[in-house]
Amino acid sequence: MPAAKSYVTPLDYEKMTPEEREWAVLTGRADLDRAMKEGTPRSTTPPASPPAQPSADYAVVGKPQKDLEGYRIVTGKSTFTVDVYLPDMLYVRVLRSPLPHAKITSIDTSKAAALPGVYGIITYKDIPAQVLAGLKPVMASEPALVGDPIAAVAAVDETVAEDALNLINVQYQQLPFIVDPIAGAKSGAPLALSNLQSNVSGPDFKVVRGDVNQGFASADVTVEHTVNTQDQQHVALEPHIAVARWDNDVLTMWTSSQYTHAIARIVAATLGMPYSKVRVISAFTGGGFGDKTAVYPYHLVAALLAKKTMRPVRYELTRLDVFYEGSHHFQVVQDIKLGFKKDGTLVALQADSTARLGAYSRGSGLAGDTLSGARLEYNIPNILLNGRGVITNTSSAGARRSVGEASGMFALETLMDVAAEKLGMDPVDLRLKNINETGDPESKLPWTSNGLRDCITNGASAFNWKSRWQGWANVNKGAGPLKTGVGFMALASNKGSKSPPMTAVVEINVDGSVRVVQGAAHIGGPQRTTFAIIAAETLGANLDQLSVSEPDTAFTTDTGIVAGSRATKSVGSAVKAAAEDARAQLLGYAAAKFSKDLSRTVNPQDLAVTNGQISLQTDSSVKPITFADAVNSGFIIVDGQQVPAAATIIGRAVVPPVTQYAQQTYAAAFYEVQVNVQTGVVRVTDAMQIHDVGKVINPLQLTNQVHGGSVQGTGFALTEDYIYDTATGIPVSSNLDDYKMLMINDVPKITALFVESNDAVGPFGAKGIGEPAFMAAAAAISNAIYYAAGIRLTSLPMNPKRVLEALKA
Amino acid sequence: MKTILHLRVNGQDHEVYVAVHKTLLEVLREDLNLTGTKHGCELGECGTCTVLVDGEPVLSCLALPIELQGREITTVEGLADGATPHPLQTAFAELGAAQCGYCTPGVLMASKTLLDHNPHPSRDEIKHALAGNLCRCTGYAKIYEAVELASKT
Amino acid sequence: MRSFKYYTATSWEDAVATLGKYKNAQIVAGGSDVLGWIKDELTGPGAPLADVLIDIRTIPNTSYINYDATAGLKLGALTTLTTVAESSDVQKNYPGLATAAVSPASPSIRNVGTIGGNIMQRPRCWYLRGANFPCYKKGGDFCFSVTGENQYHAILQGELCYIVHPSDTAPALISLNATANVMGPNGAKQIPFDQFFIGPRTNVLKETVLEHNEILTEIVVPPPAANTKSVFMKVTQRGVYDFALVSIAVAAQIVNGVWQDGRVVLGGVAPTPYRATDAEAALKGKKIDANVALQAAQDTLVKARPMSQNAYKVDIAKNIIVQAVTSLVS
Repeated sequence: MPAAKSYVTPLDYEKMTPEEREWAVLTGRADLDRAMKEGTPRSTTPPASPPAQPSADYAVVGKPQKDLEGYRIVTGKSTFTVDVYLPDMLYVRVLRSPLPHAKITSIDTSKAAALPGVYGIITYKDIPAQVLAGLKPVMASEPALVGDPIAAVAAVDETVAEDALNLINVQYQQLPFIVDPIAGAKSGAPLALSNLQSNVSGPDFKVVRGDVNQGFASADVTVEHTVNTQDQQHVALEPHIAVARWDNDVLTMWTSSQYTHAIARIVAATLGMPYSKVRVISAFTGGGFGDKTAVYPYHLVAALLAKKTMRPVRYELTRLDVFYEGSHHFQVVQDIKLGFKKDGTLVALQADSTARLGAYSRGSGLAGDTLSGARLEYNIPNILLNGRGVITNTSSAGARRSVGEASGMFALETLMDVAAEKLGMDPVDLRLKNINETGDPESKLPWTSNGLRDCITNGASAFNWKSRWQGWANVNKGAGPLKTGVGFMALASNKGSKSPPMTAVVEINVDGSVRVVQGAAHIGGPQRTTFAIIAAETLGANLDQLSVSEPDTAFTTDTGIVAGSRATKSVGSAVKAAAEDARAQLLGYAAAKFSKDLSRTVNPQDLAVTNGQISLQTDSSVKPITFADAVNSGFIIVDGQQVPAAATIIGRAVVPPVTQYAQQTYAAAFYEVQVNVQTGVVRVTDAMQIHDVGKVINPLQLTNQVHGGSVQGTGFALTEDYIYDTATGIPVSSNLDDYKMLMINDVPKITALFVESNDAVGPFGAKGIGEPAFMAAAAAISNAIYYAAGIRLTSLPMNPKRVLEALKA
Repeated sequence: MKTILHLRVNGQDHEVYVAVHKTLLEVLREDLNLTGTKHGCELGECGTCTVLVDGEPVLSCLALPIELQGREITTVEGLADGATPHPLQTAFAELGAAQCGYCTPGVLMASKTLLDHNPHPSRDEIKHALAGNLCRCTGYAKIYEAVELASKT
Repeated sequence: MRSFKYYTATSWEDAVATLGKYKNAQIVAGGSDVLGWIKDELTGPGAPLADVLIDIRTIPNTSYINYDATAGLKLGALTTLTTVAESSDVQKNYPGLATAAVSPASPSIRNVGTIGGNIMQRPRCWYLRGANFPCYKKGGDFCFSVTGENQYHAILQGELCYIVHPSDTAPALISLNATANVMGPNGAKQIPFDQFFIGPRTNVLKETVLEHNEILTEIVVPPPAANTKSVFMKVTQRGVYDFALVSIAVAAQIVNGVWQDGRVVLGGVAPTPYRATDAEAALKGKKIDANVALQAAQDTLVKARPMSQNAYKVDIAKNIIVQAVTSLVS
């Protein structure tokens, strides 16, 4: 194959805001850009496969392990941020804009301030211009979405604070607003903010590979469609919350977070303080799904009101506040077109993606993320991808369990199904024919591993696809009102990568116990248990020797974010490296002790560690020693007393980024649905997801992640919809009755299977799972609906309205 | 408008002086320091704040404690027998049926009523009993399994 | 939650008198709807927020189920939905009502939610429930659903305001020819549920004929006539308890497969529970089969005036009428 012309428009990191840079990291784009910028050798020959990690029988890794924090949780003793009540604390309530776009012409808080029990009020007049939460105003003077914060009150209790809000008099000058991204991108559209030149944010995301026109000219079969995926909210059950307290010039903030260090760093920078003087604590986090990665206005509201009143301040958002201020899985409109040879070989892909950014997200990165899987999942010589973000007067776009990829994979994998029918091929075979098993064509880096083929073939066999899917002649062949059908999708995702920051500390104490010091959120993974498993395996320790620290920036280094499905791989890599460092030191002490006790030289490499015992491999007659024996082996005499020379072993790790490989996760999904053609109601009746996880660290919790991902992904497909009234710009489905999430009644049998492709850089070969489990649903469900009832649904959610309308069309 | 309330929670009598409009959830958490019961949506739509009143599940975010004087209120803190966890707690912890764990107290309380009335429920009965409890992490499969495991112990 | 004053009523008369004293008073029983309303601060020019709550749970003897074959069924208004649903008398004699009492919500809501409250609950329209929409029902001068997001709104009898009535038990009670016992300043009175609910044209600020100081105290259902069959069905988007896209209650005397007399009542389609008299007329005297049922459905839905986004509800309503009617003879 001739070398294809290939480039990706590089992102200008100098000109990006901190928030945009966070996005680039989150989406994996930064890895790609760095790989290209650092001049990774480009080759026209396929990249070499990575060397396989040594596969081994592990003592702890791969065995089902319950959450070490489980009993704290079930007894109600786990301390979520909502459980933090401090002496002398004040409660905050926030007045929010009723208009999607306006200028405040006057604001009078005097009556509210006079209300007994009110101790502090802030409005935009109290906030310096440079104090922003990302790009969001802490208090808006030009509110750009319904729910933008206008005034915050700290009072003795929430009722007094709410009563005070009703005494604040605000006059608004209404401004034109825009909700729909397609309309907003047109010239002459009302500007979402008065300081914008255009609602289209920054240069388009663009990828060109080969010649797409020639590609389509050479195609025998072309398919295309337009896909519209909806705005959604994560609805992490613990509402967003910040509790702030100042002790002299040190700010302590408890917050429900996926990334305490980023909160500390950004709050410090925003307030012009040293990072070291902002302490952020998040012992347990009650769900996040991407919504608790950033600094929001509420963090700064709590900090500023605590400073103003010099009392601890607590701001727990109401559910409506969360819908307004929280981030949103953004609406995306995608046009996508594929070209094939008669035998099913993909020759061309063209896709265009328009993402609704809301008022305070920027750039084309989010739209670009929707196109990531399409760029990388299959071998396609000719590609043209375009993506843009459009600023609108809606809640801000953000990461929700995959950022944009879930929408992109829905567009691609439903179109692959359309193509399979047109080609007369089994959809499974069409995918198998086109998998890109070599590497990233743009960066020329090989995959760390790619288990997609096994995911598909193992799944097809386990699901009994060949007998349950009976060819294209049997679409919509069921009799009666309840029609059953099966559907399939394959998935490639840039999530689950290993990327910095990756630091950790592993301490071996004088008594032989081990402390894993890390700052990653405990959010249901269960992350602390995962890190304990990795450390125990690396050290040869028993799990009950270990404790794992809670996220607290005062005591932990920045171990990285629990988002992007990367806790296991990134933080896990750091923990593993720190444990290796500690192990090397431990063996040094142990070797010295053996040498002394045996009066002959024993080298560290002669030792083995299992079950917390250090033994001499070369001589089984020598009694093994414990970690404590080793740590305590060196003594000095002080005042006639023996004192341990090294009371603690401290293993550290700062893990460099991965530059020699491109990283992906893979999955296949098989779903069965039942479509009631009289009511339009779709129920999933059987679900199977097969994931390439590299290596299973903890099968018990891994299965849980797939179950949860499947249910959320099914909600994305069928019910969840954050709807704006376009005439007023006000969201209407902003409560949990109207924002419909699936509950226990809606859950079918879900089977989780795993492929171990032994990732080249993950700890013990592992990669991530959280987001792939969410993504591996919607397209399979849509494809199954087609097979059952003969309707192609390309807008989400696929609710009774859409089903019945399609049946009538 | 404030009043003195006499509440019996987890077998203990409490006297609190609170505003009449405070919900049971707020009084439990803010006045009695029983923070195991969580706030999820404040509108009765997620089940996170479920507690038991005379053994039956009730949403504490929509309950006025003034109405519940003299009734037996049970929260997750009252589920264990001293240091011995309730079989449901054991099952949820052992099976990983609690992930982030925020919904877990509410799910446990609704499950307790189910098992008290019906020691060996079918999946369908579990489904109906827990239909008001939103869980965003687990996908519910492990919750079914945990209730079943607890019913066998 | 905003603050309010709280009174406990000792008798229906006491509750009525207290309501009369406070313009913005509101009675509370289970509280599931009332407290949500206050927390959402749903207020407007014609709908002030309640600043006084009158608890009627303190009135003695308000929760009961009495059944006998001649007097029929008497339900205290404060009987919980759980109690109604689990009553063997209700299950045996009024299966449609038993199903309708289970279907509104999860056990934790049903355990406190009362049958009276289910009948009196306010509509779920997201414009009405959104604090920022000064709609007709809050005393404003616009219905936002007309030009807005109306996929869940009324397909029948909408005018001015296009809410749908949210109650599941109300259609069941109308189908069973039940009557409301009401206490007011002039004493007790009876109102058939068929005449209990009012549409927006009559008074857009409320959904029933009750005045501010009148309270629903008891529900009376006549004993089922011989050969009566009843059914309640509901279409929801999720498998979980949810408000109805469309619900239906049918009660009819059927002899040898022939519809003698009966009622068909739809929920979720109109601002009040919708008595489908056209369907009833089409069914009367007919041997029930799918074609007859379809005719009844078509006669009903020919009057539908769907809005921009809710025509699919016409299809659901049509199909569910057929399903419910034919289920009585299957």
